[in-house]
Amino acid sequence: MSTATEVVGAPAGVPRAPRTGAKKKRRGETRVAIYLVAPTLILLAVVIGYPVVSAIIMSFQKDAGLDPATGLFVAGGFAGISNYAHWILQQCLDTSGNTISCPPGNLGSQFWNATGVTFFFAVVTVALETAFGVWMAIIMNRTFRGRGLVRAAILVPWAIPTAVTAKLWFFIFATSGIANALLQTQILWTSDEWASRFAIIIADTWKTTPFMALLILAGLQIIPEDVYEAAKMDGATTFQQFWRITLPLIRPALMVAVLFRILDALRIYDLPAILTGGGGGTGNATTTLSILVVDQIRQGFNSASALSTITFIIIFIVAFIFVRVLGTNVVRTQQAQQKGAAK
Amino acid sequence: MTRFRLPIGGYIALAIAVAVMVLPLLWMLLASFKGQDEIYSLPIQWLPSSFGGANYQAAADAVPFGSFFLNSLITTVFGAGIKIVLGLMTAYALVFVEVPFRKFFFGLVIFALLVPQQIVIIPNYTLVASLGWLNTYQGIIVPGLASAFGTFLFRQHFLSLPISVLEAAALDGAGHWRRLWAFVVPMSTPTIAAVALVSVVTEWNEYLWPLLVIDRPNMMTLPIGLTLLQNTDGVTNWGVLMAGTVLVTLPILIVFFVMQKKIVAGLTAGAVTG
Repeated sequence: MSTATEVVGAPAGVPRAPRTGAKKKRRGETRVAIYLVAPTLILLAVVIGYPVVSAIIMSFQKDAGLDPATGLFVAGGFAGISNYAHWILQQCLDTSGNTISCPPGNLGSQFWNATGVTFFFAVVTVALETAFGVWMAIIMNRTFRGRGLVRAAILVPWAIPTAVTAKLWFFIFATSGIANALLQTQILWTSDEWASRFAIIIADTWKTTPFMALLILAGLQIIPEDVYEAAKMDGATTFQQFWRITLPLIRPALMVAVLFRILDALRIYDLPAILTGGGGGTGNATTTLSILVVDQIRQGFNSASALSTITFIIIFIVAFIFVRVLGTNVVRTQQAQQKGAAK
Repeated sequence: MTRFRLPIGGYIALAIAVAVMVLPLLWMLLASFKGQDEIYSLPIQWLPSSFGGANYQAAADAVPFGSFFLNSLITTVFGAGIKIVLGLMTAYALVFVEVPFRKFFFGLVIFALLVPQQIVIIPNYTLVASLGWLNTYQGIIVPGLASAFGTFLFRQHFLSLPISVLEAAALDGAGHWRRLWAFVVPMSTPTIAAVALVSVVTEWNEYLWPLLVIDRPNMMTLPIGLTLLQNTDGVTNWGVLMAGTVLVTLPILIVFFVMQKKIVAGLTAGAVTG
């Protein structure tokens, strides 16, 4: 990565200026650079850097509120890891201030369920979206009449607001809605435990597959046609061409798309929040970590901060494992592109 | 396999894909013209008896769609616009200027891509609240500006630009500012269009953050206002609700169809070849 950056960076960064002015030039460069980068850096510091640090600090503070033991209002103070224990070990305080395991109904008791639901959604939706996305991208990549219009039509679900998607599928999945009418069933799509989960998976797949297809299409378009010509000469079947040529060649693009999607899917909020009112089934069948965070915000920031920090760590670990195990490298792929550009 | 003519089976697959994507939306559009009895009729009544705008009138009467639309427009234009300008500036500096700690800055951008909204949402909320920015445009816009997505795509695209042109411009005495706007930007229109469309769609569709910082109906954006439509009456009046969803969807669809050629070209022209 380092060599590639320098190869491209050096001739651009140092225009062939006369040697005498080199030092002055360099100082000028730095100033320009600061002007160009400063607004973004300040923004990143204020709305990303500061919040991350302060969320972590808050997560170690007690929520101010009524002391269950005395009934008096108490200010927060240092909480140690009790906010984390609340979520991970489901520890709550009872009315006399003793540590007990959280009663059902308490948000703390929903943590592991929400984690499971979140991962279930992420794995199933990303798998479906990847499979359908590859299929759609391959179709969209062929030449045919009206291709532009078809591409646009297929991409439409991605462009419309998630709030609309949720309402639309809420309507389709209504008890007397068209889904039940066509299937001749009486499924309670938005309140039955598993039906509501599948309703969300269907809606999410419908909405996000197009974007996946677009990202994969980008990868497909860099495959030169003669590779396939050669494969055909050698008598490769369509399946072999797909498995041996298409898939390995789109792998970098595919992996980046899947990684971005997983990160996105792990923070799913809008769809379950609107489609099933955040609950579904027994009341938490579709409660994801994000929904739990927002529910908790209303009851106390510090505990919510602990939960969001846990979520952040989970997402970070998933991304890390993904990059390590599958060798996806967001940075290395640029090297490949630079090589292409240098030709 | 690529770019060959489509066989018959291919056309059928294509038709299925398009149908799956478009039919739910068509159903939504049809329902927006139907009365309550038509929606619940058995067997299914496919077409509305008339294409009158009664549901649209009812939706507009129930909630202030005009101000929702204006709020969405303002937050989207400023949010997406500022994001793009900042992204261009940062990416230009990272690629064409000798920035000290260049790699470190790019690392920051990647890190910002990874940070989930959940963790920044609470401190940002308290920050916005303490600034008195709840129920304001800047409260909606500013925390969303630090999107690294544009910077990331622009940087990748800039790396593929011919350096000779910029060197020539530099020899002619064009400063960095001029080189950015007069040379780099015109050479990057497909990528900019793609980033613009993605940003506009993202801003227009933003739900969780505006939901938290806005509670006054007159400041709500369209996606938030849509849920208000649901809340106003106990029994769901599907026709009116679907009319609302059509109203929310229509503007973005228009932008989308106007820009779709550019987006497909821009996103697929090696921009995201990642």
